[in-house]
Amino acid sequence: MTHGPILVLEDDVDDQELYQDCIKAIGINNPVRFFSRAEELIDYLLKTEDQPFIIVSDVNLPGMTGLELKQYIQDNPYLRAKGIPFVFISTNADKVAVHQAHALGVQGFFEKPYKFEDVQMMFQKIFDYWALCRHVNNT
Amino acid sequence: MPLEAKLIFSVMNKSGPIIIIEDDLDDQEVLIDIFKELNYRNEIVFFSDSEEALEFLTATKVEPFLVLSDINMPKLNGMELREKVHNNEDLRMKSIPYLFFSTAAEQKQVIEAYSRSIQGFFVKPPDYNKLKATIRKIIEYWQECVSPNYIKSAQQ
Repeated sequence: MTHGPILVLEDDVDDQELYQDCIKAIGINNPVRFFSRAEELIDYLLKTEDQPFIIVSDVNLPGMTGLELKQYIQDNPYLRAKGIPFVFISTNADKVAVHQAHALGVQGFFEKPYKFEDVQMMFQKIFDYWALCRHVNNT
Repeated sequence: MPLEAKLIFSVMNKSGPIIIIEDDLDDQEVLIDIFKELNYRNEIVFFSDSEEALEFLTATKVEPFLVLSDINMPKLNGMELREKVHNNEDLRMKSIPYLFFSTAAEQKQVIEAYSRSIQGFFVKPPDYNKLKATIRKIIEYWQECVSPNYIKSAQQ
């Protein structure tokens, strides 16, 4: 697994803490950077020299939504070429959002489980897959 | 998103067939053994000819669970095949997870692959057990994913 930061776009501070704890609990040492707005994440991606490992994003956000963010990255040649896996985690995934996400070629769409252990397992599955998978930053 | 007023929702079934496009028959045999051992309920459909695979994917009403495709193949290579699948609206609506499964990974290919919005790029481990573990991780990941509900316009 690469050491690049894990980027989490989540406007709920409780969920941010939950994700931080879960990621730590499964022994992942990559830095985790939190963003509460899509616009902030775009700013970061345009400026950074980091090679992020993955983007984990909520769907419903104030301002630009997660779906709009994915579309923005897809339409921007510079951001698209970064080839960062983009995975949604949503609390209540409605059918249309799931469909749109997949139509945008998302790299995964997960429903946030309620129990801490299940959230841990979800992250474990996501990181296992993307650690094994080749992407721009590990090839 | 060009979704019309009338929509039919039908849940893509995760027990749909797994499509494997692989021109090397030895590799196919290894994969057959592995899937037999893993014993998933999904039917495994192999294609050694990428053009036949395209024909199947575009003509069939079957909704595959996922596609695992080699890259270096005669006729249509994996990238070209992906492009054609992606440009086919009916197929794009099915939102089938599309993964490359190759013997090697060059950075150029990886970048190109992600620019085409693929859902994974795996290098086939030469070791049988590692290959099996890779396959298992892939299937578990996509089984866990919220299934892309297949929305089809009822008009026409």
